[in-house]
Amino acid sequence: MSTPLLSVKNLEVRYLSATAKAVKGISFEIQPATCLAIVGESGSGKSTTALAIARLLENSANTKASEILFEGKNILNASKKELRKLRRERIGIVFQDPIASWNLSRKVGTQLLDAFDKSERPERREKLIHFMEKVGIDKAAQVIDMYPYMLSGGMMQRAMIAGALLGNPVLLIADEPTSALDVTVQADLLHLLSELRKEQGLAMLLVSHNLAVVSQIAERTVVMYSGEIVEEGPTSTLINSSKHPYTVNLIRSMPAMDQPRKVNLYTNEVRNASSEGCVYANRCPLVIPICNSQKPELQLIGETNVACHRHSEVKKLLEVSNGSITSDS
Amino acid sequence: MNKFKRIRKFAQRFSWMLLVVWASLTLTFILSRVIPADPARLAAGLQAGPEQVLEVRKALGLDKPLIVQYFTYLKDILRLDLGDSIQTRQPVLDDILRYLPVTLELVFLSFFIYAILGVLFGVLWARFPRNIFSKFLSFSSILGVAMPVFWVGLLLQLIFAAKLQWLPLAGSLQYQDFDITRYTGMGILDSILSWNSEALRAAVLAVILPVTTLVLSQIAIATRLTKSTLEVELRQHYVRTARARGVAEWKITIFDALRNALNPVVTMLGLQFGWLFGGTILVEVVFSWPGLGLYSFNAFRTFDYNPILAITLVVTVTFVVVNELVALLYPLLDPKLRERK
Repeated sequence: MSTPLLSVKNLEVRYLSATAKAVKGISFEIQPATCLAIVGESGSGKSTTALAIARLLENSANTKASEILFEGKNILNASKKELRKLRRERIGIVFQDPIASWNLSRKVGTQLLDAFDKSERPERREKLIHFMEKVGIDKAAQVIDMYPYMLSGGMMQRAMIAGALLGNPVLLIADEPTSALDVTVQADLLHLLSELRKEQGLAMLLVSHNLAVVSQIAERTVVMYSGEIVEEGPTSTLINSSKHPYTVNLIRSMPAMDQPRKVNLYTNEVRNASSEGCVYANRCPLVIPICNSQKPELQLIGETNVACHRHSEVKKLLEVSNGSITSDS
Repeated sequence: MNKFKRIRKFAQRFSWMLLVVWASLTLTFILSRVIPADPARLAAGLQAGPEQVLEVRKALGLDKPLIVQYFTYLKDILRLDLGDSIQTRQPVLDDILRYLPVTLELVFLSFFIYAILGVLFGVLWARFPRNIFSKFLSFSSILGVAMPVFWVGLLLQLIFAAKLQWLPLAGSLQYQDFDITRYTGMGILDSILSWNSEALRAAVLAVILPVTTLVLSQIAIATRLTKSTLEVELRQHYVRTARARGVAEWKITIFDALRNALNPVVTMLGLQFGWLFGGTILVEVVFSWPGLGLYSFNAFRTFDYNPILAITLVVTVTFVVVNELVALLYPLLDPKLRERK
């Protein structure tokens, strides 16, 4: 394996207002020009992870990590000036909610060019128009002088992507880039993102709660639950032969056109999560006593890393039950 | 079509302004006639007998029915005849034109200083909340609002005029001491126009204490409002987006957040500008500043009703006009409003 573009070791984030950690010591890597997806439900810490890497959490959260290596340099030690340069030229970021992510009272172009020196702007402006056309904005030269509120949500997000590409980044962080948009626009934008990624040779960190989205784009996927990685591996393997009950549930929860909706494998029992045990123990249908007393470590099984005491039984148990599993305990 | 709409809109606003002015005039008129003091008695003097008082009353038109007095009053205003002052025995209009610029010098100076400093302090406070300067602001701004204007004025006089003797105790620029012409009535401006550095120095020294008093009593409001609205804006997602693009922090604060935070601040500043006219009364009394405030103070004291009505008119018109001007500023700050117009 080549040296990774981004390597995160033992990332921990605790929001100042919260008692529990949002991210509990996770590690992962992104290879150059590949896409890594982080999936999980709301509150699993996936967006927090993405923001922590760009060091955009500074004021509201306490971020700790052994290291966050980006292009061989530890981002955690970067000065404010280096960080600005990094965000301007090496890392592009696309956020979830296009309306909230734009300042509605300043022109699109002004905002996107703000980071660049005055002398650079005319040249960057040309480039921005080029990128805007590339992401499918008609009359880009006019849109650049419009205010964001004049655009539709999809257009705002396209412009946002164009802006993220402006500095020629090597890594694009996309934090649920399509979840605020309607379904047809979502498909377009995802297609666009993966095209652009291949064309520009970008690496991408895609944060999503939607495995279907991820399966189209990402080479590798990390599944997060409650601030921890429960499973990690090549996307297709992860989806087709999931070894963690949570991943299974995540896949089953997606509605499919040609099949009746499957029942989630949750137990109805309310159990307290114990701090020593598995994070998923309180909702897991396959829970056994050891799950509550001993934390399963991530271990390489086949092609995927999985953190589950019963990973070998997941498949078998699921075949037995067709739809719902009653818990053992 | 568009032009027609704009004219109609303007006419609408203008009639509203007139309505407000009319209402406040009527109210003041009623108050001035309801108060159980007899202006004719005061005007005639203490030694006057009943016949003389009656004569004065007739001369002033105070013997006529109230409704007639009211309409005469409105008619006179339309002709810009504000009546005579009993005290100065001059047309009120002349008095006002003479005293207004002297007050405006105070009002303009303190308004600009406190608008700029207030917003600046608010920005610093919001950006560096843990800085020692911010802590000082949070303490002193409460103090600033809590202390009465006249008390602050007296305190400053005591320290800087009486004790240290750095600044004059009271009064504005004495024109007769310097060879300068009274172009505008504003000391600093007149000294500059007359190109007299000596006079300019005196004018500036004279203005420092009253302006400081006014600024101190007002600045906390601008600072606190700017701070709290800016704090809210700095937490918005678009600020994070700008950071993610690598925009410098000061640029985000000023061009992104402050611009959006400024709307309520501008509204408040507009109202405070109107308030300053009233606020100068106490300051002018404390510092014997010969402006509209002192003039109206004397008018109130002697129940000189014509100046009182006239000053009400001036203050109301200023309030209304400034607020209209502020309304014109909104579209500059918020492009969405520009579109709706």
